[in-house]
Amino acid sequence: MNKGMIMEVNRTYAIALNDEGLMDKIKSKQNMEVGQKIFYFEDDIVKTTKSKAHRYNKFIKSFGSIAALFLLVFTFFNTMKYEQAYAVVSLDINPSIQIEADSNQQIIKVEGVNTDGKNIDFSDIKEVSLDDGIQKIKEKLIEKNYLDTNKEVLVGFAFTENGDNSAYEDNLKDAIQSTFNTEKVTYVKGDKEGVDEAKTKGISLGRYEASLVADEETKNKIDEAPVKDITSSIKDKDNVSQWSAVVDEKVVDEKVVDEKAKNNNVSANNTNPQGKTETPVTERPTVNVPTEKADSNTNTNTNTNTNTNTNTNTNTNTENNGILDLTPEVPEQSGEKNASTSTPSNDNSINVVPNNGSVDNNTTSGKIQEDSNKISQEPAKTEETLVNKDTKK
Amino acid sequence: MLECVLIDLNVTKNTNVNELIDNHMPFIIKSISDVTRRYVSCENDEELSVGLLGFHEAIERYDNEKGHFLSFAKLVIGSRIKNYLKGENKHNHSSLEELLDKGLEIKDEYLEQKEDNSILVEEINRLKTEISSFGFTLEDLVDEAPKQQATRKNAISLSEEISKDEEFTSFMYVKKRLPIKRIVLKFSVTEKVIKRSKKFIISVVIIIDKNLSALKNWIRK
Repeated sequence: MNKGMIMEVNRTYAIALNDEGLMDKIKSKQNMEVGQKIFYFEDDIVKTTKSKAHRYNKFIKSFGSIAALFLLVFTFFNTMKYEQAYAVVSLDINPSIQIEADSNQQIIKVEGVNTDGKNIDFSDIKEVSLDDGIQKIKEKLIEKNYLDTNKEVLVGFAFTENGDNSAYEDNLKDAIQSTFNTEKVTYVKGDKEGVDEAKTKGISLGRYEASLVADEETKNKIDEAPVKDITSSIKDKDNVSQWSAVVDEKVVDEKVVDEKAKNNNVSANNTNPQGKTETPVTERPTVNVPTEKADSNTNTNTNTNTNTNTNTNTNTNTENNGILDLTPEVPEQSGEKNASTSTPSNDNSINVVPNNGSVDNNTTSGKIQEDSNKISQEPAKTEETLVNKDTKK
Repeated sequence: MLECVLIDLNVTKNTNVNELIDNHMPFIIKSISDVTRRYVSCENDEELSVGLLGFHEAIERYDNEKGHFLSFAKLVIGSRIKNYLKGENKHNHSSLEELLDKGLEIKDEYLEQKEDNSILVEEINRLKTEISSFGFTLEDLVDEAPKQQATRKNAISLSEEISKDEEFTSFMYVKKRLPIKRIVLKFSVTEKVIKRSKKFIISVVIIIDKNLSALKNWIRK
C-alpha cells in the first residue's frame, strides 16, 4: 500500500507522487482531484510501456495495419467493379467484336468473337470512354482494310442488368453513328439473356439478336453469314416487336438513303471530295429514325425528313464540299432536333473551323454539280418515302 | 471474538486490538476501496473510520465456525460502508468519536488533518509549468524517475546540493539543462547517475529552489 498525492488527472489514468518521491501512474477512479492524498495499491498502478520508441512502434504498427486494411478493401472493391459489365456492345463488320462497358460508359474489355476479330489486338483499348473506344476500333479496322469491302455494320446492344437506361443507349447510338458515318449501320437491341445466349453459342450479340427475327435460312448459318445477308434478312422481316421495328425502319430508310447516295454519286461523277460529302448526307436521315420509336411519329417524321433532307441537302452540299470529315457530326445533331432551319446556321459555324485547308478547293465545281443533284434527288426521294410509308402500313 | 481471530490469523495471543488493526490497515483500506470503487483519501476520511468500525465489529462477532476471519471481515466492512454510503446524508455524526468511545486508536499517518488544498494545487501547477519549460512532463517522470529507493534518495540529496549552488541553478534555468560536467567535478558523482535521472533531479531542484513547500514536505517525509 502506498500513500500518494495526486499530481495530474487524465481520463484513463492519474499520476500520483508517493511519499517516497516516486511518481506512479494509477488507474483513474471516481472523485479524484489534484492535490488529494490517497491510499493506493500495487494493482492500481498502471504498467506503462518503458520507452517512447516503443510507443512510436505501436503507432506505426497500428497505422500500418490500418493502411493495409484499406488497401485490401479498396483493391477488393476495385476488382469487383472491374468485373462488372454494365452494357455490352457488339460490332459485326466482318470481324465480330464485343465491347463490355461499365455504367460510366467506360470500356472494360474489348474482344474479338470470331477468328478475324480475335486476330486484332484490342488490348490497348481499355478504360477509355465508349466514344473514343469505338473510334479507336474503327481506326484499327481501317488499318486492316476490313472496312474497304464491308460497308455494313451490325450493332448489337444490351444491358447486362435488366434495367433500362435510355440516356446511355442514346449516347451509344450517337457514338456509333458519328463513328461509322460512312457505313450502313443496323442497330439491334437485345437483353441480358441475349448476351448469355450469344456467349454460349460463340457468336456476337448482334448476330444472335438478328437470328431471332431472321428467316430460317439465315438463322441456320447465322454464325458465318455475311453481315450484308443478315441485315437484308432482318430488313425483309416485317417485325412487330418494338425494337425490331426500329431496326426495320432504319434499314428501309437506309436503303432509301443509299439509293439517294447512288443517285448523287452518279450525277457527281464520283469525284473524291464529292463521295465523301455525300455519305454524311446519307447518314443524316438514319439518325432521325431510331430516336423516335413510335410508328405514328416516324410516319410524320419521314415527311418532315424529306423536307429537311431537301433543305439540308442544298445547304450542306454547298458547304460540305469544302469541309471534309468534320461536318457529319453537326448535321446529325441538327437532324435529331428536326430543325431544318438550324442546319444552315450550324453549318456556317462549322465552316469557320479552320481545320481544312482545302475549303477553297471545290466551291465552284460543287455548286454547279449540286443543282443537278437537287433535281435528280428530289423525285427519287419522294418515291422512296412513299414506299416507306406503304411498308409500314 | 478476539481469541478466535488470533487463532485464525495464527498470531501470538497477547496482541491487542489496536495492534491488530494497525497490522491490517492496508487490508481495511483495500476492502473499503473495493466497495466504493474510489481511492480512500488519507485526510480524515469518514469512510476510513466507518471501515475501522466495521473491522472492530467483525472482530467482536467472529467465531471459528464462520470461516476465515479476513473474508468475514471484508464482508462486514463492505456492508458497513454500504450502509454508510446510503445514509450518508441522514446523519452527520462523526464516526471518529465513536471509534474513540470504543477505545480504538488510529495512528496519525492515517488521519491527517484536512488542509486547504488550494496551495498544494497551485504548487503542483507551478511545478508542471516549470518542467514543461524544460521539455518534459509528469508522465516522463513516471517513466524515468529512479525506481530504487536508494538511488532516489541519492538523487534527492544531490538535488539539494545543487539547489544550494546559485551558479548551477542559474545555468539550469537559462540553458534548460543540467551542467552535468561541472556537477560531476564538484560533487564527485558518476556522470551515469546524473544522466539516468536528470529529469528527476531537475524537478527536485525546481521544487526546492522555487520553495514549493507542500510538495517538499511530502517528498522529505
